[in-house]
Amino acid sequence: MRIPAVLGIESFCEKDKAADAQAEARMTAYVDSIFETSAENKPVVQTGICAIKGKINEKLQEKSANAYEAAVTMTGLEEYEKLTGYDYELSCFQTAVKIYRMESDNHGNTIFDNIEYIDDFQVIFQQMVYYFRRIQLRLAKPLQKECMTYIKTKRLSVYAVIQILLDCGVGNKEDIVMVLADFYAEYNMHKEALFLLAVMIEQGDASYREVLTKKRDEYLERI
Amino acid sequence: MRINKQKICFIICTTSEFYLNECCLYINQLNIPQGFSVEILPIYDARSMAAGYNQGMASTDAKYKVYLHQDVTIMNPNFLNDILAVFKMDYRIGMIGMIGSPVLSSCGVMWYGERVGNLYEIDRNNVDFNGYEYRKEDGMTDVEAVDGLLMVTKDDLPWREDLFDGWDFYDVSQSFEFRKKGYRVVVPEQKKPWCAHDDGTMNLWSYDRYRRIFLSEYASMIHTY
Repeated sequence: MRIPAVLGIESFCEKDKAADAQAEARMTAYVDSIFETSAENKPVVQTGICAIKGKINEKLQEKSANAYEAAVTMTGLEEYEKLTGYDYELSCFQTAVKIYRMESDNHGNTIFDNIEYIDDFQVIFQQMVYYFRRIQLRLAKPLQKECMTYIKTKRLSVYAVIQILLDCGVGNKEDIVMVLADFYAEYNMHKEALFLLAVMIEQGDASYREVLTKKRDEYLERI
Repeated sequence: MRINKQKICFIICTTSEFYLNECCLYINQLNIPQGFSVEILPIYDARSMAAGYNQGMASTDAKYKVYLHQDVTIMNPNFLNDILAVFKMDYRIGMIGMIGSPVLSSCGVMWYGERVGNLYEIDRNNVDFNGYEYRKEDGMTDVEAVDGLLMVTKDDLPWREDLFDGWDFYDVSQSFEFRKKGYRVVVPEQKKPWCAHDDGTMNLWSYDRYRRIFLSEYASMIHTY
């Protein structure tokens, strides 16, 4: 498989001309300038990341609805958005915010009640990605089912599970949801199973709609 | 140390049991070629990637070594047979990668030039490995450099820890060292992505420093117009 250049020398060639030494010199100057700018920005970016993480961590540790709202507000700042390009934990935390909004709308325990630091959520996010991939790759059932133990131990809501699935980079999400729905059903958590299927019917690939709907109707009948 | 030609060692510099466990879970699922044994060698507290890999290289008698990042999962269950099949195709093949640059951009940055290979992140729905195995007809591409997410070697050359004392460019450097010694460095055509790399946001804060060291050290091997 050929993977095109993010920015190849063609971008530095004169119109209708092949790559030559001049194009190469322009590209070199451009790349050098990118790294020079990045080095200049490094102290500001690193300080910014530390500062915003510190503030959000403080709010998470306060364990109050007001503090959580303050943390959510910080993630809406333009500065936060810019810093997500440099820090994966900040980027992942945007998913935590979506989960918190759904959970607080439903007046339940929230994802923020379960974490003390931003990086706690990144570990949850990555662990769920690992479980989703085990399901996608059809590893042995006990390895797949470890996800239910994890979900229960970490007290993850079904909103957390579906939002992480929607936001992460795993493939075959519709197939994964069908397996997860079965796992929830085995624990007699039919509402959760139905919720997962309903979200995927609405947001998943249209070609899966029929099979997901059929599965949902089977559950409804069983309940 | 006497080399064991029927042994494959996975060498992983690690800072996190969390990532290492998942990485090893997949290694332990791989089909093991007939007559071969497999070893997993985690390297803790490495000073640099090159230093850690040198330490690993010196600690095993395995002929075949798979150097990989802790956040890589090998999804292709036939991976070991497949890499042996690639090495068997030409004795001059010294190194195999999953992603590589047929011609490395003169600025030294792999993603500023065309690359070849495959990875879960770019082909994430195509992972049904039932009945899959690499075939000679699938082909491979000679590359100048491979990405350090996973590198397989069949002979040992020291990693340049004298120059690359961080976490960048040890991979491109090692690819160049292999080619300097006359080996072919290749990326097999992967009709399905053999690996996933959960690397999040790339940390490039020290990248430019090592890029400049690389460009200076290997200037005569870099293509220019």
